[in-house]
Amino acid sequence: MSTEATVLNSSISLLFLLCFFSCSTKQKEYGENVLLYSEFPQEKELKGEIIELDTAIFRYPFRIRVDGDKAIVMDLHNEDYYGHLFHYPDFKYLSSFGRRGDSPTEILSMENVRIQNSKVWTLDANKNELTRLGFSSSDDSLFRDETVTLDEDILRPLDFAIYNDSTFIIPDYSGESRLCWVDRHGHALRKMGTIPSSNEEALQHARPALAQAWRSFLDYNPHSGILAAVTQLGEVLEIYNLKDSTHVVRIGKSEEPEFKVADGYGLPTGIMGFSDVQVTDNAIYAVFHGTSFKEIAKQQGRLPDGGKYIYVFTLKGEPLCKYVLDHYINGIWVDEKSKTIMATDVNSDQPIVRFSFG
Amino acid sequence: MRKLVVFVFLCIAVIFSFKEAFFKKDNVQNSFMLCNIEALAADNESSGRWNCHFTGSVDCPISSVKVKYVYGGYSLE
Repeated sequence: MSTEATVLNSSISLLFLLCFFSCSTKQKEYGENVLLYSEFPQEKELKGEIIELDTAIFRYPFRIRVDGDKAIVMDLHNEDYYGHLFHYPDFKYLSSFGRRGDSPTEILSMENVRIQNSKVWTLDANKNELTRLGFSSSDDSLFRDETVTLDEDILRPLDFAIYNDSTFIIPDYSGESRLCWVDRHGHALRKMGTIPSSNEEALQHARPALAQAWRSFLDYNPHSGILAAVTQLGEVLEIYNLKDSTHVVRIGKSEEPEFKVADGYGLPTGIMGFSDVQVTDNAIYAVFHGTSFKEIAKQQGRLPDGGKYIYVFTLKGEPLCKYVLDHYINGIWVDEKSKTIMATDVNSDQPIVRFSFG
Repeated sequence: MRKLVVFVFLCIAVIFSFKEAFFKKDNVQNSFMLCNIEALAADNESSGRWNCHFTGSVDCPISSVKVKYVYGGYSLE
């Protein structure tokens, strides 16, 4: 066989080999601590019980928190007050707090609300402030106790978790790291982690946009030392064990957040992912949507807002159970003792729903 | 020999073109332009290059309010 013929045969073989590799599934490069999941060992349907409220005050009830005989529902878009206090479990309305406005005692927005040691903390991303409120002597109102102004280098704090009496954890929206530890005076103590994306180009050249796309909701359980972060876009759950310093990333079928960069911002494409997460003493619960932005835009806002799924993982991130709901919800509060989940449904005039599980 | 080199070059070019086409993401902007050309309603924010629509929980980059979705806008230029 002539030399030319040999080379031609080799080229054809190489061609087939290249075709094979180019046709194969696009492989993303992830670290060893990144694990993919696709199924849950159990799947159950849960039927919601609507809690009838005697007042119509919500526009977009996004978060719900319960502590003893008190429940707080946070409204992301209310015209007057962002927070509403109820007696629990009957949800008798008590009062509202977090007045919307520009004055020093008012707030421009409320990203999240947390209850710790009978005190309520709220986060205003537009004022860059954390506010602590205390209960009145009659226990039916909340009053501002303290305001913590966050350092200017803490960019756009869109969520927070309470680490201990003197420290908060806030996602780092600059993209330089993943999380930021902040003290009671609003000063950044340290930063930790990196965005576990396989998008090398974005990691090198568009970190702020990547951080926006990887915008995550947090929860921390001090008993287990587990901090969970779930992405609003895509389907990624991160578990930081702050006691043994391990970090596990779980990526679902919808993969990591998708976005495109415009004017330096990360504009969401792909799907709506998670909208809330709670770490209990035994498991991690997360509300998952899975609706594509393409479909949301096509329907021009007519699709129900929220997720129909609650994913349950072990504290190490192994899938445990998938709950399929009969309501579209955004925020949850899980009580494992009574095996109930309280949830918020922004699509309904009666937005508080109770699910029983187990 | 020259023909062989040209052949190999063309094969590589075809493979890369195939790969690019196979993995190319949807052009979201074009789809949104077609579906939403009349959707510049009262409750939206616009930078001229992209729009934030309706009430939701997604952070709108230009107005810092929460919206249902953000997409690349349609330029009339």
